Amino acid sequence: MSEGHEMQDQDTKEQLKKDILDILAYCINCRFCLPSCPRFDITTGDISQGASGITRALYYAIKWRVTDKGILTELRDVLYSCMTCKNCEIACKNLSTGTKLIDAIERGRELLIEEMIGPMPEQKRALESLYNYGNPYGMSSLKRKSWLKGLNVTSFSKEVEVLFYVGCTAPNDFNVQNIAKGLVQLLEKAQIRFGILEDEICCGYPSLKMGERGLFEEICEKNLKQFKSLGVKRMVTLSPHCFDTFLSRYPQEAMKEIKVQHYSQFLADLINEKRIVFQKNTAKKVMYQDSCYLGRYNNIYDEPRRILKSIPGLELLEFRKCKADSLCCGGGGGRMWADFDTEVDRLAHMRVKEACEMGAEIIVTACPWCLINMVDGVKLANVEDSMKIRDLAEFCADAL
Amino acid sequence: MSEYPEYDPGSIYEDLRKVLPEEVLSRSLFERINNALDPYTFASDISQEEVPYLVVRPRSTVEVSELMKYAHSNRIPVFVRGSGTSLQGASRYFHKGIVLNVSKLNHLDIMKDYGFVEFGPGHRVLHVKEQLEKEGYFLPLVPGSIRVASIGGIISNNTTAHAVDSCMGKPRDYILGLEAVLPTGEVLQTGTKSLRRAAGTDLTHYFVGGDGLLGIITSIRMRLLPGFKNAYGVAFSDDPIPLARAVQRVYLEKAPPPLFLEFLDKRVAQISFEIQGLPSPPGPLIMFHAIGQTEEEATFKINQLVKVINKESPIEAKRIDDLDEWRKIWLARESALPFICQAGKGVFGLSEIVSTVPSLVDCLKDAMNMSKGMPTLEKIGKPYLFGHIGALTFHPVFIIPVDWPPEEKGKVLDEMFLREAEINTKYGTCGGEWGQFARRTPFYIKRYGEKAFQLVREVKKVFDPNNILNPDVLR
Repeated sequence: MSEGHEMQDQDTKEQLKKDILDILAYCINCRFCLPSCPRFDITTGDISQGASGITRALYYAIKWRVTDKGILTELRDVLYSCMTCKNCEIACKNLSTGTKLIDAIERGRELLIEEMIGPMPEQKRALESLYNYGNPYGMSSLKRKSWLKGLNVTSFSKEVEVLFYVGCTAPNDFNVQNIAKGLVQLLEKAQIRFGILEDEICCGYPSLKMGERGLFEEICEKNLKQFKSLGVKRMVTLSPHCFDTFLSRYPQEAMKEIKVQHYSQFLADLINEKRIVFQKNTAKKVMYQDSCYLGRYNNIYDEPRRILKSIPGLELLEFRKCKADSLCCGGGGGRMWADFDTEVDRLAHMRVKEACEMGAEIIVTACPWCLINMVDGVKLANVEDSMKIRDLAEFCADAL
Repeated sequence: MSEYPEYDPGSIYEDLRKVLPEEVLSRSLFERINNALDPYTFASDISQEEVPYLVVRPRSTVEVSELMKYAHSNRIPVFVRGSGTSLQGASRYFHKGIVLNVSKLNHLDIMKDYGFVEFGPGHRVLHVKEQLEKEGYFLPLVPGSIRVASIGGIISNNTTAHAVDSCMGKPRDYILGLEAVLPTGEVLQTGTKSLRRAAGTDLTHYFVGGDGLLGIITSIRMRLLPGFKNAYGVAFSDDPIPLARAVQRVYLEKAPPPLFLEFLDKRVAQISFEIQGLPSPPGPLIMFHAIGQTEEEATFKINQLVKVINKESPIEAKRIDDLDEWRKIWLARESALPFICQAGKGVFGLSEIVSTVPSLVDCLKDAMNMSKGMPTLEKIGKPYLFGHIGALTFHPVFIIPVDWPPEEKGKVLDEMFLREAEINTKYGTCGGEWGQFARRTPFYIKRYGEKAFQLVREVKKVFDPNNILNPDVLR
């Protein structure tokens, strides 16, 4: 590496450290965030495993200029364990100084990448794949399109009204493919002229959350170029993570001409306009699992519920912790590619157990990762016979 | 030079491993740091020399006892820690030692037949409150930090926090007995299993309000208190003085003491009402909450309070029947501190000024002018003011700009605690919510004299001959 590069790297690190310390200057260690932290809930009670305990670990590692590899690895493990569910920030805003704890955690991950300590070992492969294939799952472009078999979905062009941004998880996972297929069915029913990208690549969320900002910026640039050349004006995403990334993390100026919606918002509008009407009676007790990136990040709580309530016969129940208080499924912040042995339970498992206790028969999600985790939760709770996990799109398509 | 020998953390771990299970011991650097911080770390970071040797999270009295026997025989300081929310510095340590985190001492048995509840010190207060409310009981502990504060710390401080003492009393009035481990490791049972409390000497009282100096409380037996019916009221004024006079009248005219009687100055009231979507109040206000066995009784009490308060001609004093309106008003009070912090882009220094009934008006003026003559406080200006005026307590709040250097932030705290001590000395009062020592030790000595402080030390020595338990509380 040239001297110039080294100096630039050093500047980047120093800037990141300064940013982190500036953010954390607001934190007073009041610990009001801890009871809200789901990660803290599923570990053995160590303060350093949750919310401000994590950020205080980061703070002192920077302040004391820690270089010991073992200690930095310990820091990596707590920093990457955060789901970025935003519960801590909301607690801090309502009860304390309004510290942006998640911003500090994300910058901390960037710093660990710069220091060659991050990400988690299992996440490295996802990042390599993102770099090589444009998705974190190592899918070839052929596999990426395999879910389209038997469907009459066109590629996006200027003649098409809406870009359906599928995301990486649905094409990769057989169970999640049904969400995409369900949404296609609903869009066709409402006679929406939509298309998908011929060569869709990831939105960049995993790289952003794992701290690989350089890669995120590259992906962002590629996507923006493609959106511009195709004249995208309206986009509907399958995943709340893609939705939030496009909406909040892409350059505002470049995205100002594009209306981005999560599919639950789009469907709620179609139902409101009576372009979709559910005919089938679905006499089931259903609970809705709020996705963090729809709910806490973007205040989308009502749309999915309105959709479910418009299905004849359906009884909608609520978790004790719902909407802004909702419990994360455990999959955000890059955790779909990492396991943490300090955890004594799984959030999705806790959620499934609660749904069973409340008498629900189905948990409906509106996020591919929530779906995957909840399915695992059902297996862990050993309730496969009595509890089903469905995605909202797939569930709605069945109710047509 | 430290009065304690220096140890290698590795050898302490190995020694304790012989008497305690591995899962209760933590050597993690970050866990040790996190267990040594208090809410004023923004003014002084801990140094690497202050990082505790080890964090121990015992699950039983026996494990606490084993730890204390080891620490006593090796003269290693032990810092007992709940959630570390102490606002007078009791959870800040200046020696190297072992942190005994009580979070796993969390049994809870509601024994309705006996009329008491037994619980461990590690619960968050809110958790115990919720469990009791499910069974129709009331927990007379209401700190602002209820979501996080651990109940052992509240008991050690003998505080009911926001509640009006003359209505609710103090925890000591409800605690029937305790189990405590002495600094030497012996286990002590105190008090009674009967609702008939001990007359005469009862060691329970040494520990409740003992500032954590004499032993580690491992179980608390508390009388069950049936739930109440509630009624609410509010009074608005364009000037805080009539509101203080109205509170004096509540006492002088023998009005029924409310459970809560809170004060917000004009700035705090306007910021927090706006956040809750309530109409902006014209000036400062008081809000009050009365309890009774029946709704009629609670309503009668509120009407009496409104009647008395109206004698001071506020803009308006009224009973609130709309529960939603009351919830918003109460939320405005609860969210006051976070929102003035966020509006001021800073962190807070919070003090506790306590008045007598006759001096309430003068004390209010002193609290409003708390910065006067204090060079660093004057840079910030007048404090925001709110508090439990019915309990004769004010909390002047200084919002310290986040970009001030730590030394400057530290000066704010030093000046604030000094002025707090001066005002409390002037009125012959002392803190009614937080403990008496740590940052407040100089005030204690000034207020009660060297002899009193010496006696406290000597009493501690009887219980703790090697001075290993929470030694920095008496700094």
